[in-house]
Amino acid sequence: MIAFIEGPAWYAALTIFVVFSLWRLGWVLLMGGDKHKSPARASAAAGAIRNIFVDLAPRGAFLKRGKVWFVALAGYAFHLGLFAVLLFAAPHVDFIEQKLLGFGWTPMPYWGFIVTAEIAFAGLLLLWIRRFVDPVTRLISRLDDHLAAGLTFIVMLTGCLALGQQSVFLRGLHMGFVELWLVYFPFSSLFHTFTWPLSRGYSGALFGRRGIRA
Amino acid sequence: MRMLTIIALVMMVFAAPSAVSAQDFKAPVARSGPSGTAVTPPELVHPEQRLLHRGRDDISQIWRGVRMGERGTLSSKSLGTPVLVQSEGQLWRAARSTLLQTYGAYLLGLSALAVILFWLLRGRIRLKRERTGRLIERFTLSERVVHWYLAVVFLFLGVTGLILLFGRIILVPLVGKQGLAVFATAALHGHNLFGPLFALGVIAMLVLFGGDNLPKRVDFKWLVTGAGVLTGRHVPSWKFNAGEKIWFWVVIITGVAISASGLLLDFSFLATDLSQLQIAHFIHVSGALIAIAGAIAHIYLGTAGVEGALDSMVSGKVDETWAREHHELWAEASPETEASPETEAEETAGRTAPAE
Repeated sequence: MIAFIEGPAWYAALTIFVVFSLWRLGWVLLMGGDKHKSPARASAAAGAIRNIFVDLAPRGAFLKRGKVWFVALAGYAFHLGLFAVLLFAAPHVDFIEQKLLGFGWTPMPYWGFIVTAEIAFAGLLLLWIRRFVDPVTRLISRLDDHLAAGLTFIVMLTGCLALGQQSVFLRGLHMGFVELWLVYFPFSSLFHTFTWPLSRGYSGALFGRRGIRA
Repeated sequence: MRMLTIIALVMMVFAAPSAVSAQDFKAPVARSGPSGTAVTPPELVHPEQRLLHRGRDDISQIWRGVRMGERGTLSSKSLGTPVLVQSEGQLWRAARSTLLQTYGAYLLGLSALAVILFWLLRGRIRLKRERTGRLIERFTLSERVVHWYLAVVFLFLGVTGLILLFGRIILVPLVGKQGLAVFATAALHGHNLFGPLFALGVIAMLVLFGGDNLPKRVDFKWLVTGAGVLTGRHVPSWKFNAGEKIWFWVVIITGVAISASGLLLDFSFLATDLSQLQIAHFIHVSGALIAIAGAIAHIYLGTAGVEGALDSMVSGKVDETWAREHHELWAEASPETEASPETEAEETAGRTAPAE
């Protein structure tokens, strides 16, 4: 079973992830934007860059709102934590070196990994719970949002359960859920991992061209 | 302060038997050998000579020294304490299997039994009057998020902790020893990782809910009358009744004890002696068992046991009828509450009463 999970199933999941992610990204990029008939008042590119990079912090007008701070802090905690764990946890670096790229990089120390994983877990839990108890967020949350959050949580959880690296079963369980996550990824809201710069850039350019901030 | 006393008492429980056993092991300074000749006590002999001249008595003496925690020398500090056998470990193991496993199982079983009995006798506590449709905010969004965050982390830690405590007894017959090894290693790593998240939740809980859970005069009446069950009359309460307040402080006190002892167990290099870890383990498991036993009752009352209770922690709002029937004083003080017919009548009477 473990041979299947780490062999054919892994390559099948990876292929689905890569092919459909490229297909969806290509489709978004080739779709193009609306043709503008009015003359530009300011730079669209500057608006796009500002919206992608500068406006990632909460705006001054919202700084006094606890909800905004909560979403910003929990959001960054989860996303940055997950990103760091995904790319810099020692078992992941080993895996990337052996199964994907043929080379690796310096991983995080064990204590750094633990702290980062805890930050990511806290962020994800808080954001997911909010989807259930905030009436507005509950209304706009779809089944896909819960599946995406739940699957990500299970992948992280099985990863932390397999931390001892003593059990083949636990490693297989983690790998199995990672594969499920990869297959679900291109067809779900998880794909915002790749589309967020595009959507933010598009909005930023649109408003930047009109001379206003998105 | 109370916490320190509890810790001191637990330490005394551990220290007293070990002191007795240490005295029991103490060898006389000089005594007769098997043939009646005088024997030099081993602590006065050079170790090499001890090995050369070891007889049955000498070996016994060496082992007595070992069991008394005699310290030797280690080639590296990273190897730990220079003690061959820490005899208090046997006391800890006995305390774990008798006090913690046996009495812990009784405690959890009693809690579940009490809930079942309460359900059989009282059933689901339903609203006595019709809902008004007017909603009052009981919990803010941050209070709800923190509550459910702590609940999820607590449930995960509770399940993994119980696997670690009772796994050998319960899981081995079901999944075998190899199966238990898988469950135990998963539970251990998950438990260690989620532990600090629990500590954060307890702090947030204290900050957000602490003020409303301070004791008030009416709480005493609530307790004395057994929540009104003994007198058959409803006892009004503020946002939280005395029972809820007791549960809150149980969560906070056990939560702090569990978190502090758990962090010491997580970062065991901070302990200067193995016995500190054993005491920390004892406090950790005792606190957790008390909290789990309380949580069984809390989960029942917060979901199936009381109509409308779960709504308050999901949507944050309760019907005015619910507020009046469960937390009358709080409902009356709430700006969202409409004046009840009784209050209106009293106010009208007050306005129309002739001035004296």
